[in-house]
Amino acid sequence: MKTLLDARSRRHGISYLLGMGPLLVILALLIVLPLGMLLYASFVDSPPNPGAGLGKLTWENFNFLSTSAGRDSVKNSLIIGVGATALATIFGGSLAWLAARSDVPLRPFVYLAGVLPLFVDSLVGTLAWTVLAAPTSGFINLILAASGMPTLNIYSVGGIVFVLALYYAPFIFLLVHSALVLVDSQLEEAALVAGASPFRVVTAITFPVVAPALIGGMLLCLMLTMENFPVPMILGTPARVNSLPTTIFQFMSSSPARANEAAALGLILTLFMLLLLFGHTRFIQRRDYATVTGKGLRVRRTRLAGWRWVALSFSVLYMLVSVVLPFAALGVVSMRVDRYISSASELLGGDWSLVRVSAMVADPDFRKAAYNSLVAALVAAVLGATLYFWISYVRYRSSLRGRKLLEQISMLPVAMPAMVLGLGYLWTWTLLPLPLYGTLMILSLAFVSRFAPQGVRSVSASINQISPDLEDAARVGGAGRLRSVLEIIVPLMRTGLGATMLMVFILSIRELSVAIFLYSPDSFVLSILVFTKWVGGSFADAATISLLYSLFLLLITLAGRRWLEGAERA
Amino acid sequence: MKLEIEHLRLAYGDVEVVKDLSIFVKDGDLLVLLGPSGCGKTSTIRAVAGLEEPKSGRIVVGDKVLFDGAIGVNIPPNKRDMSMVFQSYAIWPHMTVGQNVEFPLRMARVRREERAERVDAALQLVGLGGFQKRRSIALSGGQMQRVALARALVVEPSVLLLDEPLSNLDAKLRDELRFELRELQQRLGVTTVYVTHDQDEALALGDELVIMNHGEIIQRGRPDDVYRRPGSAFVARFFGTVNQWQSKVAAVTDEHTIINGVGSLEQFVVAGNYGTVGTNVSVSIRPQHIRLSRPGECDAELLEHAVIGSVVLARLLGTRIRYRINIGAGTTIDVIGGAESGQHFFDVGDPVVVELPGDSLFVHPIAATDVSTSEPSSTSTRSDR
Repeated sequence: MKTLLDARSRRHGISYLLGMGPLLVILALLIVLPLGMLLYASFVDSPPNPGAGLGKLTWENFNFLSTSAGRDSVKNSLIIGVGATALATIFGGSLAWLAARSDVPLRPFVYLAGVLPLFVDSLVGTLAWTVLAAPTSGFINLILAASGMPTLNIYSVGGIVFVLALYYAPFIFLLVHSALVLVDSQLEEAALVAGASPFRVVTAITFPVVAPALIGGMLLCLMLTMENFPVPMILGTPARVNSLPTTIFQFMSSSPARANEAAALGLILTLFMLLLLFGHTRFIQRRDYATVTGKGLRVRRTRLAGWRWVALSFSVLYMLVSVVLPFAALGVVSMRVDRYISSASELLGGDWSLVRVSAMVADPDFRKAAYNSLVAALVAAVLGATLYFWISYVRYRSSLRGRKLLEQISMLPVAMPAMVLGLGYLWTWTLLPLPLYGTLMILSLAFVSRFAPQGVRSVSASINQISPDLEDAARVGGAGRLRSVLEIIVPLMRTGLGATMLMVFILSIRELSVAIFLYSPDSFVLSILVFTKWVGGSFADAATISLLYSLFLLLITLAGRRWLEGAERA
Repeated sequence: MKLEIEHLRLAYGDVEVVKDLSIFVKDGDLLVLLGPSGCGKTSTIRAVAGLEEPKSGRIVVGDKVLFDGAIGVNIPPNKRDMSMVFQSYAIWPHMTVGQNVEFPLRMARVRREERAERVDAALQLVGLGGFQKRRSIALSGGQMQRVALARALVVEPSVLLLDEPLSNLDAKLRDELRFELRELQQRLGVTTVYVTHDQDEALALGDELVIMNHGEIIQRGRPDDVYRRPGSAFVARFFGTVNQWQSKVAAVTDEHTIINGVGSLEQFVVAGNYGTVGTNVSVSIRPQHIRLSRPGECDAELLEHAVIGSVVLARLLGTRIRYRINIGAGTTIDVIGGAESGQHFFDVGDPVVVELPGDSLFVHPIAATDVSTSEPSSTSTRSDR
């Protein structure tokens, strides 16, 4: 019996060294250690800097919360999160129902309206909205003033809620739409036959049936809007409205930096996220609607009758407000020769030129930022896909002990606000004796951590579509583990892996909040450049870069999709 | 090469799926592992292939020890020189037919020219000559099965493992391929383990049959012997369709046992001893062994275990007719009769004399816990060996 135990532990020892060992080390460095640093920094009196030694244990970092400024930032975060989520649910939920379940005219357009804002970075959208609705000079306000109507003020809590809702509604749209498409029409028909009015059918049957997707989307939206940094930063600062993320940023950029207090606030924000995540898990566990997994062969569309055009106008308006007007505004600021516009009549007239745009393209800072963005995102995509694949493979295709732990660790960043992850990275990599701090590599690694939950989930879904028999057949046919992975699994997953890489690439290029504490004069990226230009008061430059940056993202997305479709057909 | 499995134990977590299983397959023989789903038969051949790690036991092919729990030997699947055909065929969709069949040769580092020849020969063998360049996703189920077989046979394996290879095909193709497979196996003389839950396959294919349930061997022997002389109520029920009832021994004489009857049949009188009075027994009879006649046609006194029933259901199945007959007290019995001309034909509602010949009855003593086994939900308490 003793020899048997020895033999088994020896065999497991080797597979551990090959499979679990490196993964646990990597995940510890990328995720666990940064989180640990944050926890540590929250409860001591000095930040974890090299040579600083251990700090003294203290609760004082949390004292800020009992000041009125502290209470305000918590309260504002909650108002912003709840308000933006409610509004985003109205936008995303109704568009999803219109596109999936009604006879609204131009349904493909309604769908497009629902997803398109996803491709507008919230930083870019916010800058554009300052151009559109700044108190006196905003373009919309010029028109409103000219027609004698009251003007808007985007620099307010309402403005923050509105802009966040515009750009986070697509998350709710996508989740609800895909659930609505799957609802068996017979459920609704049964209610109609039972005497319910079409409106009652929607409220009593359709939405309750997709409630898990709707609630899931709302919680996701609540988490994303509460931790969002650029929108409250840009729209809240002039109005002296602070949220938790903006306060963290101010603590870190004040001099001397109030790092421990920033960590404590980060911890509070993380706890909010954990609470929401816990609520979501509980909710999902209690409801399991098998009806939503139906085939959705025949979809019954509710007849809107006279409301059809109202519904279409709503979709057009949403598209105008979220995409068309913001880019038009950025275009005006970037391409109008005289960019100071003081009345509505001047909006479309005047001379136009591409001088400022081409000057920006030639600008060395812009070129460097674009190059850095590309490299950092590309490295993140390749490293990320490799790591996510490795985790998914060990999780779903091995029997190594602790494989579920790998997945759980890689899901942790869901609850880690981007700024918190950035803070954790800052301290982890200044302390570790690896010369990575201030390099592009640190940004790439932070992106890999940040998008680990989405990445691991998407690679796992793809790996689980491949029958284990296909790999077993290669093993019995004489191929070793690595060989069967390289010759069978990876080629079969090329579309899934490609899609994951593209996702990480695009998300990385857009990421601002993680990078904000990690960039150096040599390693700034496009999103950082836009932000620093805005902080430095060069609004027009920020607008021009935003325009180029969005164009760049659009091209990459289109090219990536083409490439993926090609891979699918091959 | 011969295959020996000794005292194999295999568990998934705390659930033991193979319990102390020992099997010996002679060189060139075909052994069929038959059992209901979840009985551990697939786990057993996956352990032979090296795809599952047993808890303990030994697996030896020829003179080579592939697994020995006592001394910590566990050869990985790619070093076992085996071939396996999976239930799903596991044809790699990103490779052509030729690339699929060539893969094991590439892994064995066979020279390129020789590979082409052997792929060609293997495809010829399964009747797919000239299919090398075909895309594997464009194949029919039967063709995929043949490609899987060609891929398994291209390397002259020490042992060929077949995991329900025909279960995804339609009935007609299944019949056809079953005989081709047997003919090929005998011609090549390759030692084979064939896993199935289909009793017809077990009868048609095997040199030897092993019936498994709950990770244990219930009975082994030549397939026709097992069919004729099922060793337990479970085997009678699982291997071939039967009518089966639970009953009790009513009386015992020197040479006979008298068992409580079913329906309006008072008692069964069978030769042999099946335990003392009150022993729980199961009584089984195959539908095709039951004789039917019209009332008054035969002298009832001359018939064994005869009872008058009425036809509830009559269905023509090609050359045969399947009847369900009510024999009183809420009991029905299934009977299969010939449908050729000249045979009697009974309609629903007809009275009919049902005769259960004594030498066709199987009687098995059963443990008290076995009484409920006709309900699949309560099979976990079984303890028959």
